[in-house]
Amino acid sequence: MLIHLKLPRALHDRMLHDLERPHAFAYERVGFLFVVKETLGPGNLLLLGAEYQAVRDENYIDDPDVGAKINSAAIRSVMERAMACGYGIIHLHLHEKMYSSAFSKTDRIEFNRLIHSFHHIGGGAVHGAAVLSGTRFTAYALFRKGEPAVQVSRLSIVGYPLSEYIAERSSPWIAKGIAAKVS
Amino acid sequence: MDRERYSRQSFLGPTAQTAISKARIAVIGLGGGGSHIAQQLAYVGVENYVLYDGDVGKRWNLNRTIGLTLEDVKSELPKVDATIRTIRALHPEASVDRVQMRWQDRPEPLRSCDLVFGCVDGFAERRELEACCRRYLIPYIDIGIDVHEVKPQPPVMSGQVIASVPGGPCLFCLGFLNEEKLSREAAKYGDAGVNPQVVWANGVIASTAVGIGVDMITGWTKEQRNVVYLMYEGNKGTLKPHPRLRQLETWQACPHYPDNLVGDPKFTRL
Repeated sequence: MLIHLKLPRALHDRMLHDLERPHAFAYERVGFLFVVKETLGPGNLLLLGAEYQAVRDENYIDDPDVGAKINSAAIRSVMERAMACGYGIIHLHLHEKMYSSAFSKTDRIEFNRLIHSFHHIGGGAVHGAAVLSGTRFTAYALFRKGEPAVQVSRLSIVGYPLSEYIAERSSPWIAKGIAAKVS
Repeated sequence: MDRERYSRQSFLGPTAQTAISKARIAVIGLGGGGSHIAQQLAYVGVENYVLYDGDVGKRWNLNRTIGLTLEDVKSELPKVDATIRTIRALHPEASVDRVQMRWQDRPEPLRSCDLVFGCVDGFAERRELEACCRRYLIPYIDIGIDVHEVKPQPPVMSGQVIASVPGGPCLFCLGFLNEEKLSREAAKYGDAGVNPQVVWANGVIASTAVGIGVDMITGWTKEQRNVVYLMYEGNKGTLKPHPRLRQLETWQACPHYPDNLVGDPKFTRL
């Protein structure tokens, strides 16, 4: 499966601007990209960036053990928007540019916890998560709860000029490792 | 990568040729403008094409359609095949999605493109093509030439090169399209008419469009823009930014193609 995520430049820049802002106590910010899914052919999927929703400062929870933790109000707001518009949800955050964009252990745990729960919205949308680090990215998409995640192959930023993030190679074990562990 | 072959365009940057060879580019309409564009893309090093044209070559195409020959007209060769022959002479292994019909009748190959060149007749056709490109987040470069009889003055030849970038001003924002033009065309049952065309004018705007496309793919000029609108004055032989760009100084966002209107239109329950 080839998955191509495309964002218009203005949306991408707005997203980065939000994610790069410091927070009073969280080490990093997270945000949510809403996407529309289009099938281009067998094994060929396009995810088109439609909107970005920042997490309000007051919806972060002070937890020094993790980079960022958000409350249920933030998640509920995202799920309501996705359900109203038929969007898929991509959870986003940044890694420091000198580090890899590969999912950390915490990222994988959060993927299992959060991304699978987005499928309670129904509607057949694709949900996932992405990490950006400098010019590199790692992203996974989940088509259905209980199935292994699929790595996103391309992330293009559409503007003048066009640009692409470099996809970091990821072990297939990571995708398997972030398959649903539904309790 | 054949470094020697592209050594004269190495100034485009160390990663430019890779980007050019990987880009998937559509050319809609392979007449006087599109045939120029396709030929130049092949010389520049593009290796992935989606080509749309439903027509066969006719005698009246021979004054301007690049690659079309007398033999082609006699054998009623489709224009798309004349273009493919031009491309394959330079890139025998090029990937070419050949569509000998209107793009509206088979839009699927278009949707996976990185860039679309529109060399079509008529305002309605342009509106539909731009709308499709906006929905699939594909930059769209439009070209066209027109010759008006303004007797007793000499004919006036003019044209345009417009780059419509998702998130930037659209053809409506630029005033190139408006409801009046679309209504006038619709009143003629959508007949865009037969436009006078000459090879040199097509060459100017086609070459300019290719240059814009290469810059978009490679970023070699380091320019960042959200629109290009160039006006060709054929009688004077000049190409310059259109005066309407000045009206965009207060432009904030495109009201015709909101950012979140992406993908195919879908029905939703109210």
